[in-house]
Amino acid sequence: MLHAIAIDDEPAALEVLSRYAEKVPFLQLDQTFTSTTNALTYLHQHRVDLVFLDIQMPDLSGTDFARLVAPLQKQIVFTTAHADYALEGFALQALDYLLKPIEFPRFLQTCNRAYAQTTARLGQSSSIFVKDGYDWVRVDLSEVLFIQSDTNLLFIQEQTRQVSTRMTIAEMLATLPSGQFVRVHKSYIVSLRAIRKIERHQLTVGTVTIPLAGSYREVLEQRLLG
Amino acid sequence: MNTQLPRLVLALTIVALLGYWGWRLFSGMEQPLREALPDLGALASYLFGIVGLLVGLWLIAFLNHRLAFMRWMLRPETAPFYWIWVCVMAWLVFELLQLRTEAVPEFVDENLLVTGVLLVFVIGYGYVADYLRTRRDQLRLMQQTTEAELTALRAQVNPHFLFNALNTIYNEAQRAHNDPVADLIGQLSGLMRYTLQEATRPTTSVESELAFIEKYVALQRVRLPESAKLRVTLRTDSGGQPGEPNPLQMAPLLLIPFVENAFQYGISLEHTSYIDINIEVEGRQLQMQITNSRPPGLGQKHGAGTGIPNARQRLERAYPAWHSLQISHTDKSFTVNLRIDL
Repeated sequence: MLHAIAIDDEPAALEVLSRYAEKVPFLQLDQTFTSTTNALTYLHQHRVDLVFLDIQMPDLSGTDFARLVAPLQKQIVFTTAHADYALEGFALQALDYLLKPIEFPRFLQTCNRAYAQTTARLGQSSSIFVKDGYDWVRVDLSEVLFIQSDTNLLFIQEQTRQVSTRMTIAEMLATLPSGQFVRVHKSYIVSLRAIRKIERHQLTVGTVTIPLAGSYREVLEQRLLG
Repeated sequence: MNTQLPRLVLALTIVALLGYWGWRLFSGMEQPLREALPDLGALASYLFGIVGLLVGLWLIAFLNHRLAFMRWMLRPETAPFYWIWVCVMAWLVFELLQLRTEAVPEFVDENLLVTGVLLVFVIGYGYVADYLRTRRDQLRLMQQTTEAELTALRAQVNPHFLFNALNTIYNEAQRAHNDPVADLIGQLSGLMRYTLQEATRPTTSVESELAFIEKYVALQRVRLPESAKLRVTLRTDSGGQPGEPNPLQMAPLLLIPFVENAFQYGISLEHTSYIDINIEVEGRQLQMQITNSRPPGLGQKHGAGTGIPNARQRLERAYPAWHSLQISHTDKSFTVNLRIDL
Protein backbone atom coordinates (compact mmCIF):
# COMPACT_ATOMS: atom_id res chain seq x y z
CA MET A 1 0.00 0.00 0.00
CA LEU A 2 1.22 3.46 -0.92
CA HIS A 3 0.74 6.18 1.67
CA ALA A 4 0.18 9.59 0.20
CA ILE A 5 -0.66 13.14 1.20
CA ALA A 6 -1.82 16.04 -0.98
CA ILE A 7 -1.14 19.74 -0.52
CA ASP A 8 -3.11 22.36 -2.40
CA ASP A 9 -4.55 25.71 -1.42
CA GLU A 10 -7.72 25.02 -3.40
CA PRO A 11 -10.17 22.60 -1.78
CA ALA A 12 -11.64 21.70 -5.18
CA ALA A 13 -8.29 20.35 -6.35
CA LEU A 14 -7.97 18.26 -3.18
CA GLU A 15 -11.46 16.87 -3.71
CA VAL A 16 -10.52 15.62 -7.16
CA LEU A 17 -7.41 13.90 -5.79
CA SER A 18 -9.33 12.31 -2.89
CA ARG A 19 -11.96 10.98 -5.25
CA TYR A 20 -9.32 9.46 -7.51
CA ALA A 21 -7.35 8.01 -4.62
CA GLU A 22 -10.43 6.10 -3.52
CA LYS A 23 -10.53 4.39 -6.88
CA VAL A 24 -6.91 3.22 -6.74
CA PRO A 25 -6.67 0.07 -4.59
CA PHE A 26 -3.00 0.38 -3.72
CA LEU A 27 -3.06 4.05 -2.80
CA GLN A 28 -4.18 5.53 0.48
CA LEU A 29 -4.49 9.27 0.66
CA ASP A 30 -4.01 9.66 4.43
CA GLN A 31 -4.28 13.44 4.70
CA THR A 32 -4.90 16.52 2.61
CA PHE A 33 -3.56 19.97 3.50
CA THR A 34 -4.41 23.45 2.36
CA SER A 35 -1.17 24.84 3.76
CA THR A 36 2.41 23.64 3.78
CA THR A 37 3.00 24.32 7.49
CA ASN A 38 0.82 21.50 8.81
CA ALA A 39 2.02 19.20 6.06
CA LEU A 40 5.62 19.67 7.14
CA THR A 41 4.93 18.50 10.69
CA TYR A 42 2.91 15.56 9.40
CA LEU A 43 5.68 14.52 7.02
CA HIS A 44 8.13 14.25 9.87
CA GLN A 45 5.84 12.14 12.02
CA HIS A 46 4.19 9.69 9.66
CA ARG A 47 5.05 7.28 6.91
CA VAL A 48 4.51 8.99 3.56
CA ASP A 49 5.61 7.52 0.23
CA LEU A 50 4.11 10.02 -2.12
CA VAL A 51 3.34 13.74 -1.96
CA PHE A 52 0.98 15.45 -4.37
CA LEU A 53 2.09 19.03 -4.31
CA ASP A 54 0.54 22.12 -5.88
CA ILE A 55 3.04 24.65 -7.17
CA GLN A 56 1.22 27.98 -6.90
CA MET A 57 0.43 28.44 -3.25
CA PRO A 58 0.28 31.71 -1.31
CA ASP A 59 2.70 31.07 1.59
CA LEU A 60 5.32 28.78 0.19
CA SER A 61 5.50 27.62 -3.40
CA GLY A 62 5.45 23.91 -4.14
CA THR A 63 8.95 23.97 -5.53
CA ASP A 64 10.30 25.66 -2.39
CA PHE A 65 8.49 23.13 -0.24
CA ALA A 66 9.97 20.30 -2.32
CA ARG A 67 13.45 21.72 -1.76
CA LEU A 68 12.73 21.95 1.94
CA VAL A 69 11.70 18.31 2.27
CA ALA A 70 14.28 16.98 -0.20
CA PRO A 71 16.33 15.35 2.61
CA LEU A 72 13.30 13.21 3.53
CA GLN A 73 13.48 11.62 0.07
CA LYS A 74 9.77 11.46 -0.55
CA GLN A 75 8.43 10.88 -4.04
CA ILE A 76 7.02 14.20 -5.18
CA VAL A 77 4.31 14.67 -7.79
CA PHE A 78 3.73 18.28 -8.79
CA THR A 79 0.20 19.32 -9.61
CA THR A 80 -0.27 22.63 -11.33
CA ALA A 81 -2.89 24.54 -13.24
CA HIS A 82 -0.46 26.01 -15.66
CA ALA A 83 2.86 24.57 -16.68
CA ASP A 84 5.81 26.83 -16.24
CA TYR A 85 8.62 25.75 -18.43
CA ALA A 86 11.32 27.20 -16.22
CA LEU A 87 10.25 24.46 -13.89
CA GLU A 88 10.86 21.59 -16.24
CA GLY A 89 14.43 21.05 -15.16
CA PHE A 90 13.46 20.94 -11.54
CA ALA A 91 10.45 18.78 -12.16
CA LEU A 92 12.72 16.10 -13.56
CA GLN A 93 13.80 15.37 -10.02
CA ALA A 94 10.16 14.89 -9.14
CA LEU A 95 8.40 11.67 -9.96
CA ASP A 96 5.83 13.33 -12.18
CA TYR A 97 4.12 16.50 -13.19
CA LEU A 98 0.32 16.56 -13.39
CA LEU A 99 -1.56 19.35 -15.14
CA LYS A 100 -4.98 20.35 -13.82
CA PRO A 101 -7.65 19.34 -14.48
CA ILE A 102 -6.04 15.98 -13.87
CA GLU A 103 -7.76 13.11 -15.64
CA PHE A 104 -8.01 9.74 -14.00
CA PRO A 105 -5.97 7.61 -16.46
CA ARG A 106 -3.12 10.09 -16.10
CA PHE A 107 -3.43 9.98 -12.31
CA LEU A 108 -3.38 6.19 -12.36
CA GLN A 109 -0.24 6.22 -14.49
CA THR A 110 1.53 8.32 -11.88
CA CYS A 111 0.37 6.09 -9.05
CA ASN A 112 1.56 3.01 -10.88
CA ARG A 113 4.91 4.59 -11.49
CA ALA A 114 5.18 5.48 -7.81
CA TYR A 115 4.11 1.99 -6.83
CA ALA A 116 6.68 0.34 -9.11
CA GLN A 117 9.42 2.56 -7.70
CA THR A 118 8.41 2.03 -4.09
CA THR A 119 8.21 -1.73 -4.36
CA ALA A 120 11.57 -1.74 -6.12
CA ARG A 121 13.07 0.40 -3.36
CA LEU A 122 11.75 -1.99 -0.69
CA GLY A 123 13.65 -4.78 -2.38
CA GLN A 124 10.53 -6.41 -3.81
CA SER A 125 10.16 -6.87 -7.50
CA SER A 126 8.37 -3.87 -8.97
CA SER A 127 4.77 -4.23 -9.99
CA ILE A 128 1.84 -2.26 -11.31
CA PHE A 129 -1.93 -2.56 -11.08
CA VAL A 130 -4.15 -2.79 -14.12
CA LYS A 131 -7.90 -3.07 -14.44
CA ASP A 132 -9.27 -6.28 -15.93
CA GLY A 133 -12.97 -5.63 -16.31
CA TYR A 134 -14.02 -4.56 -12.80
CA ASP A 135 -11.07 -6.23 -11.06
CA TRP A 136 -7.74 -4.75 -10.21
CA VAL A 137 -4.96 -7.16 -11.09
CA ARG A 138 -1.46 -6.86 -9.73
CA VAL A 139 1.14 -7.47 -12.41
CA ASP A 140 4.62 -8.34 -11.26
CA LEU A 141 6.80 -6.74 -13.89
CA SER A 142 9.54 -9.34 -13.55
CA GLU A 143 7.04 -12.04 -14.53
CA VAL A 144 5.93 -10.31 -17.71
CA LEU A 145 7.17 -11.81 -20.97
CA PHE A 146 5.57 -9.41 -23.40
CA ILE A 147 2.63 -7.10 -23.89
CA GLN A 148 0.53 -7.11 -27.01
CA SER A 149 -1.92 -4.44 -28.06
CA ASP A 150 -5.03 -4.97 -30.09
CA THR A 151 -6.89 -1.70 -30.80
CA ASN A 152 -8.04 -0.66 -27.30
CA LEU A 153 -7.13 -3.85 -25.46
CA LEU A 154 -3.77 -4.84 -24.05
CA PHE A 155 -2.79 -8.44 -23.34
CA ILE A 156 -0.10 -8.85 -20.73
CA GLN A 157 1.53 -12.25 -21.10
CA GLU A 158 3.15 -13.78 -18.05
CA GLN A 159 4.70 -17.22 -17.60
CA THR A 160 1.50 -18.75 -16.34
CA ARG A 161 -1.32 -16.37 -17.15
CA GLN A 162 -2.54 -13.68 -19.47
CA VAL A 163 -4.09 -10.45 -18.23
CA SER A 164 -6.19 -8.31 -20.53
CA THR A 165 -6.88 -4.69 -19.80
CA ARG A 166 -8.53 -1.76 -21.47
CA MET A 167 -5.60 0.50 -22.20
CA THR A 168 -3.79 1.92 -25.18
CA ILE A 169 -0.19 1.05 -25.85
CA ALA A 170 0.70 4.72 -25.35
CA GLU A 171 -0.74 4.59 -21.81
CA MET A 172 1.20 1.42 -21.08
CA LEU A 173 4.41 2.98 -22.40
CA ALA A 174 3.92 5.87 -19.99
CA THR A 175 3.20 3.53 -17.06
CA LEU A 176 6.13 1.14 -17.43
CA PRO A 177 9.47 2.10 -15.93
CA SER A 178 12.32 2.56 -18.35
CA GLY A 179 15.08 0.01 -18.74
CA GLN A 180 13.27 -3.23 -18.18
CA PHE A 181 11.13 -3.25 -21.29
CA VAL A 182 11.63 -2.46 -24.93
CA ARG A 183 9.19 -1.82 -27.71
CA VAL A 184 9.90 -3.93 -30.78
CA HIS A 185 6.83 -3.37 -32.90
CA LYS A 186 3.79 -1.15 -33.28
CA SER A 187 1.83 -3.53 -31.08
CA TYR A 188 4.46 -5.31 -28.98
CA ILE A 189 6.46 -4.46 -25.88
CA VAL A 190 8.78 -7.20 -24.64
CA SER A 191 10.71 -7.73 -21.44
CA LEU A 192 14.43 -7.52 -22.17
CA ARG A 193 15.14 -10.40 -19.80
CA ALA A 194 12.65 -12.69 -21.48
CA ILE A 195 14.14 -12.48 -24.97
CA ARG A 196 15.48 -15.86 -26.03
CA LYS A 197 16.46 -15.32 -29.62
CA ILE A 198 16.68 -12.43 -32.06
CA GLU A 199 16.40 -13.00 -35.77
CA ARG A 200 16.30 -10.53 -38.61
CA HIS A 201 12.60 -9.77 -38.55
CA GLN A 202 11.40 -11.54 -35.44
CA LEU A 203 12.37 -12.53 -31.95
CA THR A 204 11.47 -15.31 -29.58
CA VAL A 205 10.15 -14.55 -26.13
CA GLY A 206 9.43 -17.61 -24.03
CA THR A 207 8.01 -19.91 -26.64
CA VAL A 208 6.30 -17.21 -28.67
CA THR A 209 7.58 -15.58 -31.85
CA ILE A 210 7.10 -11.82 -32.01
CA PRO A 211 7.63 -9.60 -35.07
CA LEU A 212 10.52 -7.16 -34.93
CA ALA A 213 9.93 -3.95 -36.89
CA GLY A 214 12.90 -2.42 -38.66
CA SER A 215 12.52 0.96 -37.05
CA TYR A 216 12.74 -0.52 -33.53
CA ARG A 217 15.67 -2.82 -34.25
CA GLU A 218 18.32 -0.19 -33.51
CA VAL A 219 16.85 0.63 -30.09
CA LEU A 220 16.69 -3.06 -29.22
CA GLU A 221 20.33 -3.59 -30.14
CA GLN A 222 21.36 -0.53 -28.14
CA ARG A 223 19.49 -1.78 -25.09
CA LEU A 224 20.97 -5.25 -25.27
CA LEU A 225 24.54 -4.00 -25.71
CA GLY A 226 24.37 -1.01 -23.38
CA MET B 1 -15.65 60.40 -51.79
CA ASN B 2 -13.90 61.81 -48.76
CA THR B 3 -10.45 60.85 -50.01
CA GLN B 4 -11.19 61.92 -53.58
CA LEU B 5 -11.95 65.56 -52.81
CA PRO B 6 -8.64 66.61 -51.21
CA ARG B 7 -6.77 64.92 -54.05
CA LEU B 8 -8.75 66.84 -56.63
CA VAL B 9 -8.06 70.08 -54.78
CA LEU B 10 -4.36 69.23 -54.65
CA ALA B 11 -4.22 68.53 -58.40
CA LEU B 12 -6.03 71.81 -59.10
CA THR B 13 -3.64 73.71 -56.84
CA ILE B 14 -0.59 72.27 -58.57
CA VAL B 15 -2.00 73.02 -62.01
CA ALA B 16 -2.89 76.54 -60.91
CA LEU B 17 0.56 77.16 -59.44
CA LEU B 18 2.42 75.84 -62.49
CA GLY B 19 0.03 77.70 -64.79
CA TYR B 20 0.64 80.92 -62.87
CA TRP B 21 4.41 80.53 -63.01
CA GLY B 22 4.27 79.61 -66.68
CA TRP B 23 2.13 82.65 -67.39
CA ARG B 24 4.51 84.86 -65.39
CA LEU B 25 7.49 83.47 -67.24
CA PHE B 26 5.74 83.87 -70.57
CA SER B 27 4.60 87.46 -69.91
CA GLY B 28 8.14 88.43 -68.89
CA MET B 29 9.43 86.87 -72.07
CA GLU B 30 6.65 88.23 -74.22
CA GLN B 31 8.61 91.13 -75.56
CA PRO B 32 11.80 89.32 -76.55
CA LEU B 33 9.73 86.39 -77.67
CA ARG B 34 7.74 88.47 -80.03
CA GLU B 35 10.91 89.84 -81.50
CA ALA B 36 12.36 86.40 -82.01
CA LEU B 37 9.14 84.62 -82.76
CA PRO B 38 10.56 82.28 -85.37
CA ASP B 39 13.27 81.26 -82.93
CA LEU B 40 11.14 78.86 -80.87
CA GLY B 41 14.08 76.52 -80.42
CA ALA B 42 15.80 79.04 -78.17
CA LEU B 43 12.74 79.23 -75.91
CA ALA B 44 12.52 75.46 -75.73
CA SER B 45 16.16 75.11 -74.85
CA TYR B 46 15.77 77.85 -72.23
CA LEU B 47 12.83 76.01 -70.64
CA PHE B 48 14.64 72.71 -70.92
CA GLY B 49 17.59 74.32 -69.23
CA ILE B 50 15.51 75.36 -66.24
CA VAL B 51 13.78 71.97 -65.95
CA GLY B 52 17.12 70.19 -66.39
CA LEU B 53 18.72 72.34 -63.72
CA LEU B 54 15.91 71.58 -61.26
CA VAL B 55 16.01 67.86 -62.02
CA GLY B 56 19.79 67.85 -61.72
CA LEU B 57 19.64 69.67 -58.41
CA TRP B 58 17.05 67.28 -57.05
CA LEU B 59 19.06 64.29 -58.31
CA ILE B 60 22.21 65.54 -56.60
CA ALA B 61 20.33 66.11 -53.37
CA PHE B 62 18.66 62.72 -53.60
CA LEU B 63 21.88 60.84 -54.29
CA ASN B 64 23.64 62.79 -51.59
CA HIS B 65 21.01 61.71 -49.07
CA ARG B 66 20.95 58.09 -50.18
CA LEU B 67 24.66 57.50 -50.59
CA ALA B 68 26.37 59.90 -48.23
CA PHE B 69 23.86 60.98 -45.58
CA MET B 70 22.48 57.49 -44.90
CA ARG B 71 25.94 56.00 -44.78
CA TRP B 72 27.67 58.45 -42.49
CA MET B 73 25.25 60.78 -40.73
CA LEU B 74 23.31 58.14 -38.85
CA ARG B 75 26.20 57.46 -36.48
CA PRO B 76 27.95 60.32 -34.68
CA GLU B 77 31.42 58.80 -35.08
CA THR B 78 31.16 58.80 -38.89
CA ALA B 79 29.35 62.15 -39.20
CA PRO B 80 32.59 64.07 -39.96
CA PHE B 81 32.98 61.98 -43.14
CA TYR B 82 29.69 63.38 -44.35
CA TRP B 83 30.79 66.95 -43.77
CA ILE B 84 34.12 66.24 -45.46
CA TRP B 85 32.19 64.90 -48.41
CA VAL B 86 29.95 67.99 -48.45
CA CYS B 87 33.06 70.21 -48.54
CA VAL B 88 34.53 68.19 -51.39
CA MET B 89 31.26 68.40 -53.26
CA ALA B 90 31.09 72.16 -52.74
CA TRP B 91 34.60 72.53 -54.05
CA LEU B 92 33.78 70.39 -57.10
CA VAL B 93 30.63 72.39 -57.86
CA PHE B 94 32.50 75.64 -57.48
CA GLU B 95 35.31 74.47 -59.79
CA LEU B 96 32.70 73.30 -62.31
CA LEU B 97 31.08 76.73 -62.27
CA GLN B 98 34.47 78.38 -62.57
CA LEU B 99 35.19 76.23 -65.59
CA ARG B 100 31.89 77.27 -67.13
CA THR B 101 32.62 80.97 -66.63
CA GLU B 102 36.19 80.44 -67.83
CA ALA B 103 37.60 81.48 -64.45
CA VAL B 104 36.91 85.17 -65.01
CA PRO B 105 37.57 86.87 -61.60
CA GLU B 106 34.36 88.96 -61.79
CA PHE B 107 32.23 85.84 -61.65
CA VAL B 108 33.82 84.38 -58.50
CA ASP B 109 31.30 85.95 -56.12
CA GLU B 110 28.39 84.88 -58.31
CA ASN B 111 29.72 81.32 -58.48
CA LEU B 112 30.18 81.29 -54.72
CA LEU B 113 26.58 82.39 -54.28
CA VAL B 114 25.26 79.65 -56.58
CA THR B 115 27.38 77.05 -54.83
CA GLY B 116 26.07 78.28 -51.50
CA VAL B 117 22.44 78.03 -52.58
CA LEU B 118 23.06 74.55 -53.92
CA LEU B 119 24.75 73.50 -50.70
CA VAL B 120 21.94 74.80 -48.54
CA PHE B 121 19.42 72.93 -50.69
CA VAL B 122 21.37 69.67 -50.63
CA ILE B 123 22.02 69.78 -46.88
CA GLY B 124 18.44 70.80 -46.17
CA TYR B 125 17.13 68.03 -48.36
CA GLY B 126 19.23 65.54 -46.42
CA TYR B 127 17.77 66.60 -43.10
CA VAL B 128 14.18 66.78 -44.28
CA ALA B 129 14.38 63.38 -46.00
CA ASP B 130 15.92 61.87 -42.89
CA TYR B 131 13.24 63.35 -40.68
CA LEU B 132 10.53 61.93 -42.92
CA ARG B 133 12.20 58.53 -42.94
CA THR B 134 12.53 58.30 -39.15
CA ARG B 135 8.97 59.46 -38.68
CA ARG B 136 7.70 56.80 -41.04
CA ASP B 137 9.75 54.14 -39.24
CA GLN B 138 8.52 55.37 -35.89
CA LEU B 139 4.92 55.20 -36.99
CA ARG B 140 5.38 51.68 -38.27
CA LEU B 141 7.14 50.64 -35.10
CA MET B 142 4.40 52.13 -32.97
CA GLN B 143 1.79 50.28 -34.97
CA GLN B 144 3.71 47.04 -34.59
CA THR B 145 4.14 47.41 -30.83
CA THR B 146 0.48 48.20 -30.43
CA GLU B 147 -0.43 45.09 -32.36
CA ALA B 148 2.03 42.96 -30.39
CA GLU B 149 0.71 44.33 -27.12
CA LEU B 150 -2.84 43.63 -28.18
CA THR B 151 -2.05 40.02 -29.04
CA ALA B 152 -0.17 39.60 -25.80
CA LEU B 153 -3.10 41.03 -23.88
CA ARG B 154 -5.51 38.77 -25.64
CA ALA B 155 -3.41 35.71 -24.83
CA GLN B 156 -3.12 36.78 -21.25
CA VAL B 157 -6.47 35.91 -19.81
CA ASN B 158 -4.28 34.85 -16.93
CA PRO B 159 -3.71 31.14 -17.61
CA HIS B 160 -3.46 30.29 -13.94
CA PHE B 161 -6.88 31.68 -13.36
CA LEU B 162 -8.30 30.01 -16.46
CA PHE B 163 -7.05 26.52 -15.68
CA ASN B 164 -7.84 26.76 -11.98
CA ALA B 165 -11.36 27.80 -12.91
CA LEU B 166 -11.63 24.88 -15.32
CA ASN B 167 -10.38 22.61 -12.56
CA THR B 168 -13.10 23.85 -10.23
CA ILE B 169 -15.75 23.20 -12.87
CA TYR B 170 -14.21 19.79 -13.48
CA ASN B 171 -14.54 19.03 -9.78
CA GLU B 172 -18.16 20.16 -9.73
CA ALA B 173 -19.01 17.97 -12.72
CA GLN B 174 -17.41 14.97 -11.01
CA ARG B 175 -19.22 15.69 -7.77
CA ALA B 176 -22.47 15.62 -9.66
CA HIS B 177 -21.35 12.28 -11.16
CA ASN B 178 -21.48 13.80 -14.59
CA ASP B 179 -18.47 12.06 -16.05
CA PRO B 180 -19.10 12.96 -19.71
CA VAL B 181 -19.04 16.66 -18.84
CA ALA B 182 -15.95 16.22 -16.69
CA ASP B 183 -14.19 14.42 -19.53
CA LEU B 184 -15.11 17.16 -21.97
CA ILE B 185 -13.74 19.82 -19.65
CA GLY B 186 -10.55 17.79 -19.34
CA GLN B 187 -10.23 17.63 -23.10
CA LEU B 188 -11.04 21.27 -23.59
CA SER B 189 -8.41 22.24 -21.00
CA GLY B 190 -5.87 20.13 -22.84
CA LEU B 191 -6.69 21.82 -26.14
CA MET B 192 -6.47 25.28 -24.63
CA ARG B 193 -3.27 24.53 -22.79
CA TYR B 194 -1.68 23.31 -25.99
CA THR B 195 -2.72 26.25 -28.14
CA LEU B 196 -1.93 28.83 -25.43
CA GLN B 197 1.37 27.42 -24.40
CA GLU B 198 3.04 24.63 -26.32
CA ALA B 199 2.13 25.96 -29.73
CA THR B 200 3.80 29.29 -29.08
CA ARG B 201 7.17 27.58 -28.93
CA PRO B 202 9.08 26.85 -32.14
CA THR B 203 8.98 23.10 -31.56
CA THR B 204 7.06 20.72 -29.36
CA SER B 205 7.26 17.00 -28.70
CA VAL B 206 5.57 14.69 -31.17
CA GLU B 207 3.76 13.16 -28.19
CA SER B 208 2.02 16.38 -27.25
CA GLU B 209 1.06 17.20 -30.83
CA LEU B 210 -0.57 13.77 -31.14
CA ALA B 211 -2.28 14.14 -27.75
CA PHE B 212 -3.62 17.48 -28.96
CA ILE B 213 -5.12 15.87 -32.05
CA GLU B 214 -6.66 13.11 -29.93
CA LYS B 215 -8.37 15.69 -27.73
CA TYR B 216 -9.53 17.69 -30.74
CA VAL B 217 -11.06 14.63 -32.38
CA ALA B 218 -12.66 13.53 -29.11
CA LEU B 219 -14.31 16.94 -28.72
CA GLN B 220 -15.47 16.96 -32.34
CA ARG B 221 -16.88 13.47 -31.97
CA VAL B 222 -19.13 14.44 -29.06
CA ARG B 223 -20.61 17.20 -31.12
CA LEU B 224 -21.76 14.67 -33.69
CA PRO B 225 -24.76 12.43 -33.17
CA GLU B 226 -24.33 8.71 -32.58
CA SER B 227 -25.36 7.18 -35.86
CA ALA B 228 -24.62 4.09 -37.88
CA LYS B 229 -24.17 6.32 -40.89
CA LEU B 230 -21.29 8.13 -39.28
CA ARG B 231 -17.80 6.84 -38.63
CA VAL B 232 -14.84 8.64 -37.13
CA THR B 233 -11.70 6.68 -36.40
CA LEU B 234 -8.38 7.92 -35.13
CA ARG B 235 -5.24 5.93 -34.57
CA THR B 236 -2.06 7.56 -33.36
CA ASP B 237 1.28 6.05 -32.47
CA SER B 238 4.21 8.19 -31.46
CA GLY B 239 6.58 5.23 -31.59
CA GLY B 240 8.01 5.84 -28.11
CA GLN B 241 9.72 3.41 -25.76
CA PRO B 242 8.55 2.32 -22.30
CA GLY B 243 9.27 4.93 -19.64
CA GLU B 244 10.66 7.35 -22.16
CA PRO B 245 8.25 9.19 -24.36
CA ASN B 246 9.30 9.83 -27.89
CA PRO B 247 12.04 12.47 -27.73
CA LEU B 248 11.36 13.64 -31.28
CA GLN B 249 10.39 17.27 -31.71
CA MET B 250 8.31 18.86 -34.41
CA ALA B 251 6.89 22.23 -35.37
CA PRO B 252 3.54 22.57 -33.60
CA LEU B 253 0.07 22.65 -35.18
CA LEU B 254 1.24 21.33 -38.54
CA LEU B 255 -1.19 18.42 -38.66
CA ILE B 256 -4.35 19.93 -37.23
CA PRO B 257 -5.40 21.93 -40.37
CA PHE B 258 -5.83 18.68 -42.28
CA VAL B 259 -7.86 17.16 -39.46
CA GLU B 260 -10.01 20.29 -39.20
CA ASN B 261 -10.53 20.20 -42.93
CA ALA B 262 -11.75 16.62 -42.76
CA PHE B 263 -14.34 17.55 -40.15
CA GLN B 264 -15.42 20.61 -42.08
CA TYR B 265 -15.96 18.95 -45.43
CA GLY B 266 -16.22 15.25 -44.65
CA ILE B 267 -19.18 15.02 -42.32
CA SER B 268 -22.81 15.08 -43.27
CA LEU B 269 -25.75 14.43 -41.04
CA GLU B 270 -27.96 13.13 -43.85
CA HIS B 271 -25.64 10.96 -45.89
CA THR B 272 -23.29 8.18 -44.93
CA SER B 273 -19.98 9.78 -44.08
CA TYR B 274 -16.70 8.89 -42.48
CA ILE B 275 -13.29 10.17 -41.41
CA ASP B 276 -10.36 7.83 -40.91
CA ILE B 277 -7.19 9.27 -39.48
CA ASN B 278 -4.00 7.37 -38.96
CA ILE B 279 -0.84 9.01 -37.65
CA GLU B 280 2.26 6.96 -37.04
CA VAL B 281 5.85 7.65 -36.15
CA GLU B 282 8.43 5.07 -37.07
CA GLY B 283 12.05 5.90 -36.50
CA ARG B 284 12.29 9.56 -37.44
CA GLN B 285 9.49 9.48 -39.95
CA LEU B 286 6.01 10.76 -39.28
CA GLN B 287 3.25 9.53 -41.52
CA MET B 288 -0.28 10.79 -41.57
CA GLN B 289 -3.15 9.54 -43.65
CA ILE B 290 -6.57 11.10 -43.56
CA THR B 291 -9.40 9.79 -45.66
CA ASN B 292 -12.82 11.30 -45.52
CA SER B 293 -16.03 11.05 -47.47
CA ARG B 294 -17.24 13.90 -49.66
CA PRO B 295 -20.94 13.94 -48.99
CA PRO B 296 -22.99 15.58 -51.74
CA GLY B 297 -23.89 19.19 -51.04
CA LEU B 298 -20.80 19.87 -48.97
CA GLY B 299 -18.52 19.41 -51.95
CA GLN B 300 -19.24 22.88 -53.34
CA LYS B 301 -17.85 24.46 -50.21
CA HIS B 302 -14.48 23.01 -51.01
CA GLY B 303 -11.74 25.45 -51.94
CA ALA B 304 -13.15 28.32 -49.94
CA GLY B 305 -10.93 27.57 -46.95
CA THR B 306 -7.45 28.91 -46.40
CA GLY B 307 -6.48 26.14 -43.98
CA ILE B 308 -4.82 23.79 -46.43
CA PRO B 309 -2.79 26.40 -48.38
CA ASN B 310 -1.60 27.84 -45.07
CA ALA B 311 -0.63 24.42 -43.81
CA ARG B 312 1.22 23.76 -47.04
CA GLN B 313 3.14 27.01 -46.64
CA ARG B 314 4.08 26.22 -43.05
CA LEU B 315 5.27 22.77 -44.09
CA GLU B 316 7.41 24.34 -46.81
CA ARG B 317 8.97 26.65 -44.28
CA ALA B 318 9.49 24.14 -41.45
CA TYR B 319 10.54 21.10 -43.46
CA PRO B 320 11.48 22.39 -46.93
CA ALA B 321 13.10 19.25 -48.28
CA TRP B 322 11.91 16.74 -45.77
CA HIS B 323 8.25 16.33 -46.41
CA SER B 324 5.89 15.07 -49.04
CA LEU B 325 2.25 16.02 -49.19
CA GLN B 326 -0.21 14.35 -51.51
CA ILE B 327 -3.80 15.42 -51.67
CA SER B 328 -6.10 13.52 -53.92
CA HIS B 329 -9.81 13.22 -54.28
CA THR B 330 -12.49 11.38 -56.14
CA ASP B 331 -16.18 12.23 -56.28
CA LYS B 332 -16.76 10.25 -53.11
CA SER B 333 -13.63 10.65 -51.03
CA PHE B 334 -10.81 12.97 -50.12
CA THR B 335 -7.38 11.71 -49.10
CA VAL B 336 -4.39 13.45 -47.56
CA ASN B 337 -1.07 11.67 -47.35
CA LEU B 338 1.63 13.47 -45.46
CA ARG B 339 5.10 12.27 -44.65
CA ILE B 340 7.63 14.31 -42.68
CA ASP B 341 11.19 13.36 -41.87
CA LEU B 342 11.61 14.92 -38.44
